[in-house]
Amino acid sequence: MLVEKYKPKRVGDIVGHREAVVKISKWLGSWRRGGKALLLHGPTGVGKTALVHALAAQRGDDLIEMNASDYRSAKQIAENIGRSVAQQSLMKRGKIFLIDEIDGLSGNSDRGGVAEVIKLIAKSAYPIVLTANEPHGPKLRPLRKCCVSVEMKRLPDADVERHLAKIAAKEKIQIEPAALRDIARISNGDLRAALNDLGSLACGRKIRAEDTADLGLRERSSDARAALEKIFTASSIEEARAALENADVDADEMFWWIEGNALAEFAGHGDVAAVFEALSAADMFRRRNESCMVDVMLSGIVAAARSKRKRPVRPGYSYPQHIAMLAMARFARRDEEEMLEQLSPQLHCSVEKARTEFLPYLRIFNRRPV
Amino acid sequence: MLIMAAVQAEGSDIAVWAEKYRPRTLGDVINQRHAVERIRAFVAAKNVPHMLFAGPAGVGKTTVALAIGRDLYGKDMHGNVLELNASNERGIDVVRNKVKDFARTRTVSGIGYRLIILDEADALTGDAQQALRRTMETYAAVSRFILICNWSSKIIEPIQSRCSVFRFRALGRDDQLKFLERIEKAERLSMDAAAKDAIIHLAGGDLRKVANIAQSAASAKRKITEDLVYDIASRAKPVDVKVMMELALAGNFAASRKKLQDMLLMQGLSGEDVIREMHRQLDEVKADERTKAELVSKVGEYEYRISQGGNDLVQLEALLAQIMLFAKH
Repeated sequence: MLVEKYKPKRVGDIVGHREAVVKISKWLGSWRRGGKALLLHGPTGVGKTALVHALAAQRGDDLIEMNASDYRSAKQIAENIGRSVAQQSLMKRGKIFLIDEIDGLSGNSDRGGVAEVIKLIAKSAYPIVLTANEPHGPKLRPLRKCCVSVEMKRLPDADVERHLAKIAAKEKIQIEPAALRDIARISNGDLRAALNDLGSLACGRKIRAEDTADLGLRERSSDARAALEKIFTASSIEEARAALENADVDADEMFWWIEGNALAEFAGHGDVAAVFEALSAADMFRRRNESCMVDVMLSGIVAAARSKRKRPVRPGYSYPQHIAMLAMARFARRDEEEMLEQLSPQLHCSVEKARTEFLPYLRIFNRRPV
Repeated sequence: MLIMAAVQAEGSDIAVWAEKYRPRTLGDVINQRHAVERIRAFVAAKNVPHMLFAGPAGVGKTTVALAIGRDLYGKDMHGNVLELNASNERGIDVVRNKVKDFARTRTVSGIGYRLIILDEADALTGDAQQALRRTMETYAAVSRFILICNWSSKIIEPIQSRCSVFRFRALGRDDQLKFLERIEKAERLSMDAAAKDAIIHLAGGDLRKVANIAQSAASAKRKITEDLVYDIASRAKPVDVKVMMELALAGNFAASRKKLQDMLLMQGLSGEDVIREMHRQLDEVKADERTKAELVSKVGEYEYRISQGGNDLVQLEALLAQIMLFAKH
């Protein structure tokens, strides 16, 4: 396995990510008990976990790791590492706790996991690193407040290609430059995938340009953007449904991905209206019948996609505006929100109702800025 | 924080009139005779069933529920009535924790059961309603529920079947006038018939609005006139709606949608507010009669979807996209 063999041993071995490495070193250098955790996020295979391992090895720290294959309800997290984070070790050796794939906490079986991690961060005597592919979702929102976020971006193809060439040389793998470039391109910035592809094509013979055609394209289940692109370009509902099922986000979140990116994808008035109509109809099933919601949503999109005027360049999809805006709005209005929360029980109505029914009038008859 | 202090002064001088003039007993409730009479019989027998109150906003549902609590427990109301607003806490956890914990503890009052008022219950998720259904049954001996909603269709059938359902009716002109005159008298306001009509017209059957508009007007001038009422009401209403509709009609969906998002998310307006204003603005839209008629029917369609639990943003976006299709190229 090339991935294991060429795993970075020191921070200097990491491919790319200069900026991230500087930020992380700074965070670790100034970390004191009670300090923030590090939330390292970015697409799969860019070296998040590898970087933490390298960092620990270089400092001579023990690395204590938990990942999505373990467990992770509140109770299990507390049992597994809760005690060891709080106790300063008797030996002088340092520790780093790594909670990998934090966005993989399951809503059901890992209930309370996020809250428990927040408690751990507060009491930990050692730095805690969390990694995630997608840190922006609502699930991790409470966590983001007690973390320093550092992004590790998708690696440029050129970086991947250069690294592959270096390893090919060391391994005495003969490879045509075009094949090298193809592997890098197909990896889409995922260095781990690229190394695996290089290894699987090598098998003791020269790799020719045409060999890369055999590489199976990876189903990037963790990437909502890729799933979204598949849904937008699907030629049948089955295809669109498969993309949704492989996506790491649930149908409800995908709904908001579609809602947020529909305008970037579709240009014609008719297509735009058709897509929003599909969302509107799907919305009516949202809390009642998920499979109905999915069918209605996808069939409308597939129909619009067939007739759509092609955009010359594929748009870069962005994180659902709606989810981001909700968070932003909540922040911008937090004073107002706090007041409404206090008013709500006194006026015997919900916060929403206090806002819409009372606030406009309170502003008038209270005569003080509310 | 002035407001806080004012509202908190329970009983004495409550600053928000909608609260200050909320009827305290069943006898004071405005109209809703058909419901109130039956309920009074239950209360007199000290045996209330699980109840579901359905009806439009501001007609007295919450008021009746609170009055039942007061009439049943008197001074002990505080420890025997749990008031929860499902819009604030809509998930299953609130049912499993708060509601269940309260429901299963036995009361020490003479009544024998406690009362749980679940306001805006149509906001409860399906899961939460499922969880509630069993709770209502298991603890019926020691806890009675009053569920309050605008649309009973959003309450799952198993819950409806466990409740006596009371439909609260829209309030007419005379009912609103009666309430307004209570306020007028107590606050010693001076307002003419035209001003009263204006308030009633704007409130549209919602007593909460009657109180809010009257209080806003009174804060400006002691003497309340029709003009003042309309001026106040326009200050309290969304102004961006017109711009949003014009943008959509001009075919600029992206900008129109941005306005919408701004109103809903940043200004915190409800979809209902926006759509009500859209209805009003339709008169002003420059379009031929046929187009106008089609627009009215479109607006009505999405209004219906929102009333059936559709998401405000999604439904209004779809509506704007439909309006965009009327744009002349």
